[in-house]
Amino acid sequence: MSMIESHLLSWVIFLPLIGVGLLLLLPRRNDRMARNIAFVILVLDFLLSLKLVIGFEPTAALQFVERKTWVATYGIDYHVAIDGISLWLVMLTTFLGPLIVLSTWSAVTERVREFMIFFLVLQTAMMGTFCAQDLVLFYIFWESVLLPMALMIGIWGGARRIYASVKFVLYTMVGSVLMLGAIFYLYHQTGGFSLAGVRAVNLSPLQQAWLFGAFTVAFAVKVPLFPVHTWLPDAHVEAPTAGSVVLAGVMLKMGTYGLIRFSIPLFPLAAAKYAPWLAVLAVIGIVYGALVAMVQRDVKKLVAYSSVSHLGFVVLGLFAMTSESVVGAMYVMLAHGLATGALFLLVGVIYERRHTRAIKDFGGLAHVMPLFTVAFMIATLASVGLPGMSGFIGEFLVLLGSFKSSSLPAARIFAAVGATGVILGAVYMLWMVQRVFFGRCDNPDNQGLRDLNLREICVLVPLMILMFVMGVFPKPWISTMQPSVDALLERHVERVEAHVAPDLRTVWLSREEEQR
Amino acid sequence: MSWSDVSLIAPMVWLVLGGVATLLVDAFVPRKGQGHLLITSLVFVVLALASLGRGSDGTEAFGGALAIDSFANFFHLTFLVVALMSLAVGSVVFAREEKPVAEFYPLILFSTVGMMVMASALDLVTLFVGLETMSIALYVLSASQRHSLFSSEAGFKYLLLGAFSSAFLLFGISLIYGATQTFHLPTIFERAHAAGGISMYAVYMGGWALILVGLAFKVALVPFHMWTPDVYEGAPSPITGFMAAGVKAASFAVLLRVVWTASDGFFSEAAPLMAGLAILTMSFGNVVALAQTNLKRMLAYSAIAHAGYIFVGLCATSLRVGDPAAKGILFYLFSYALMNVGTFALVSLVSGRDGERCDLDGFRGLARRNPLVSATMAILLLSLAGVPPTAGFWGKFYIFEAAMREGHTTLVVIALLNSAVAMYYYLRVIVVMYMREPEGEAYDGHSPQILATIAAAAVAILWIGLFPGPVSELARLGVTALAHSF
Repeated sequence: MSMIESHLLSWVIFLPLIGVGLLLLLPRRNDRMARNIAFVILVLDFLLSLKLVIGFEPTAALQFVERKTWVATYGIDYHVAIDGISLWLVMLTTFLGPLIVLSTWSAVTERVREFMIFFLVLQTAMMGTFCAQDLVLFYIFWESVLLPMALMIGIWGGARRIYASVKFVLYTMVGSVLMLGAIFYLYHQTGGFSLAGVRAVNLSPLQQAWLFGAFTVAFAVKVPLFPVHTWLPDAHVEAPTAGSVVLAGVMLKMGTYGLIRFSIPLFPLAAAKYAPWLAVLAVIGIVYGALVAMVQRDVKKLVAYSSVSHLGFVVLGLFAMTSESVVGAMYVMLAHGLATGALFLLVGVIYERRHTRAIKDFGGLAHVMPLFTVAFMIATLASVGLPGMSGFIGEFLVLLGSFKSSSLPAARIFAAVGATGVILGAVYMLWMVQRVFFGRCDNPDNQGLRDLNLREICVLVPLMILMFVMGVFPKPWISTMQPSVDALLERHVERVEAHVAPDLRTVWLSREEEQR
Repeated sequence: MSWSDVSLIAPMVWLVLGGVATLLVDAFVPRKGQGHLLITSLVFVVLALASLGRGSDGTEAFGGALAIDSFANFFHLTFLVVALMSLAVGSVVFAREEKPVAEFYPLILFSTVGMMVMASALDLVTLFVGLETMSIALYVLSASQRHSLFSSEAGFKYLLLGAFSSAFLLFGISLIYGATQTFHLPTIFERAHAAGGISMYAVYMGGWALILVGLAFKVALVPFHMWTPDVYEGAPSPITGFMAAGVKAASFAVLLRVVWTASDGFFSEAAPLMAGLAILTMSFGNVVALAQTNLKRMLAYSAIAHAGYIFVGLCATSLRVGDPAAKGILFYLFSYALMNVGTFALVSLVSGRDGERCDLDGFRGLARRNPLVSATMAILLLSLAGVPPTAGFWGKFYIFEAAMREGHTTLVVIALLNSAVAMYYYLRVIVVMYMREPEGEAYDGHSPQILATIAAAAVAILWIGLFPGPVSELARLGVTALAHSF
C-alpha cells in the first residue's frame, strides 16, 4: 500500500496501461472479458483518483509531486504533479472513463479488445498531459493522445471516418510540431525543460511573441478556436459515441489547459499583448458556433458545434484574466465535459436504436421514451446554463469576469457579445429538443423504440447527479481551483508590471534630463 | 603490419572469414535449402559482435589507416546489427526463389566489412577502398533477383550512378592530396590549421566540394538522389533495407569525419549551401513520398527525407568533444537502422514472392488478418515519423535541438513542418492496415525468422524510446572519440 501511497499520481496515470498489458495477454475473440477488464481497471483508477481529491490541500502549491531523472544529459525529468487546475481535469478523465466503457457495451461489437487497448492508452496519455511538469514529458503525452484517438475514429467511426481521422491527425500534428520547435528554443534559452525553470526566465517581448504564437497555435487547434475548428465537426460526426465523448469531454480541454498552463504563465507579456485578439476569436467562436449549430440537421453535428461555442467561453474567460473569469473558464471546462459528454452519450443511445441522427426523422419521442427524454432535457438544460445547473455557474463567472476585465479593451462589449451566445445556446438546444421530443410521434419507426435500459441508466445517472451538484453547490470545486488560479494571475500581473515599470522609469528619467 | 593490428580489426576479420566460409560451404556441402549457409554466416556475425570493443580512444591500426575507437565501434555495432537482421530476413526471401542465390550471404558479409572500413577510415584511400567494397557487393545484391527485370534494372542503375559518384569522390581525393600532400585526415586537419594554412586554397576547397558530391550520391541527397527510388523499388526488399540503413550510416559516418576535418575551411563557407541541401532534400523527399502508392517507393522517398533530417545535424555540427549535433546523428543513424531494416523486413513478409504486393493495397486490412504484424508495422512507421515515445522521436529530438542551439532556427522549423507532412504518408499505411477492409487473397507470409526480426526491432525501438539514455551515452562516447582522433 505504501508503494501506492507514495506514488499515487503515477499509479493513477499509469493504471490504464497495466490494463493494456492484461488485455494484450487476453486470447482473441474474448470480447466480454476485454470489456470487463477495461471497466474494472477504470473503476479502480477512478477510486484511486478519489484519494487525490481527499488528500488535496486547497493551496496553490504543486502536490503529489513525483520527480525522477529521465534523460540526464538533457535534464529531462519524469516530473508529474497536480495543482488546483490539473486536479479536476484528472478527475474528469477518471470519472468519464468507466462510464464511456460502459456505454460501449452494445455500440462496439467489433475488435473490442483493440478498442479497449486504444481507449486505455488514451486515458493514460490524457492524464499525463494534465500532470506533466516537464515540457518534453508534456509533449510526449500530448502526442501520444493523437494516434489512439485517430484509430478510434478511423476504425469504429461512420461513413467518412478515414477522412475525419486523417484530418484530425494532420491539424493537430502541424500545431504540435511548431510547439516542439518552441520547446527546443526554450531549452536553449533556459537550459532546462522544467516548467518551473522556464517560467522563471525572463524572455524578451519579441521572443515571447514568437513562442506564445507557436504554443498557442498548437492549443488553439485542440480547443478548437475559430478559425481552426473545422476538424472538430468532422471528427465528432464520424467518431463512435465513445470517441465523441472522450473528444468533447476531455480532449478539447487539453487545449484550454495548455493555454492556462503554458501560453499565459510562460509568456506573460505576449499573453497580455495578444489577449484581446484571442478574445476576439473566442467571441467569434461563441457566436459563430451557436449560429452554425442552429441550422444543423444532424443532432450530433449540432452538439459538436455547440462545443465550439462553449469552448469559446473558456478561451474568453482565460484571456479576460480576472479571478472570476479564469475560475469560471475552469468551471465551464468541467461542466461542458459533463453536459456535452452526456449529450453525446444520449445521441449514441438513439443512434443505436434508429441508425439515424437527423432531426427530421424524429418527433414526439417523449411519448415513447420518457426516461430518455428526461435525461436529454437535464443534459440540455445543463448545457444551456439554466441557473441551478452546472453550466450556469461557469458561464456566469466568465461573463462577470470579462465584464470587468482590465486586460481586454472594451471588455463590456466582449461580455455583451459573449452573453448573446448564452441566448443563442438556449435557442438552438431547445429548438432541437422541441423538434425531436415533442409534438406528435408520426414516424412509425419511432413508435416501437425501447426506453433506456438499466446499463444506460447506470451510465447517465452519475452524470446527471453531478450536473445538479455542480450547479447548486460549486464550492468544493471553486475553493480548490481558486488558490491556484489566483497565484497564477498574481504572478502574471507582477511580471507584466515588472516589465512595464522599468520602461516608465526610463521615460521618467529621460524627461528629468530634458528638464535639466 | 603487426599481429596487434590484426587483432584490433578482429570483427572485420571474422566477417571476411565468414564470407569465405559461406562460399566454401556452399560449394562443398551439397544440401537443399539454405539453412546451413544462414547458420554459417550468422555464426561469424555473432563472432564479430563478440569481438567488438577492442581498442581505446585514439587507437590507430595499420599506421594510421584505421581508427578503432568508440566512434568506430558504435558504427560497427550498427552495421553488425543491420547485417544480422538482413541475413535473417534475406534467407527467407531468397529461399523463395526458383534458383536460390547462395552468394547473398558472403556478399552481405563483404559489404558489411566495407561499411566497417568506411566508419574506421582515417585516410582517404582506405575510405575509398571501404566504399568500393561496400558498393560493389551491393550492385550485385541489387540485381540478385534474376527473374525480375526491375531487379536487374536496379543493379545496373546503381552500378552506373555509383561509378559516377566514385569518380567524383576519387577526383576530390586527388585534389585534396594535391593541396595537402597527404591522405591522412588528421594530418590534413593539422596542415589546414597550421600557420599560413594551405597554399593551394582553391584546389583544396574544390577537393572537398567533389568529395561532398560523391558522398551526397551515396546518402541520396537531392539533387543527387535520382537513382534512389528505382533502386530501392527494384532491389529485393531485404537488400533495400540493408542498403538504406547500412549505406546511409556508413556514408554519414564518413561525412561527419570529413565535415569535422574541413569544418573551418570548406564547410563553414559552404554553410548556406549545406542548409539549402538539407531543406531541398527533406522537402523534396517528403512531398514526393506523399504521392506514392507503392510502399517501397514511398519508403525510398522517405529515406531521402531522412537523409535530409540527418543533414540538418551535419549543418549544426562542429569539432568539439561531446558535440550534441554529432551525437544526435549517431543516435539517429542507429535507430534509423533498426526501424528501416524492420520496415523492409515487413515489406518482404507481406509482399509475397515477387514483391507484387508492394502496392499499398496489399496491406489492406492487415490488422484483421494479423494484428501482431500490423502492430509492429505501426510502431516502426510511427518511429519513422518521429512520434513519441519511439526511438525515432529522440533521434529527431537530439538533432533538431542541437541545430536550434546553434542558431539554425529556420532550418529546424522547416524540418519540423516536414515531419508533420511526413506524418501523412506514414499514417496512410496505418490507415490502410487498420481502417480498410481486407480484400483479395489472404496474407500468407508466415516466417519465424522475419517475425522474430521485426518483433526484435519493434521492441528495441520502443525500449530506446522509453529509455534513450544508454544509446545516447554510447553515441556521446563515440563523438568524444571522434574528437580525440584529430
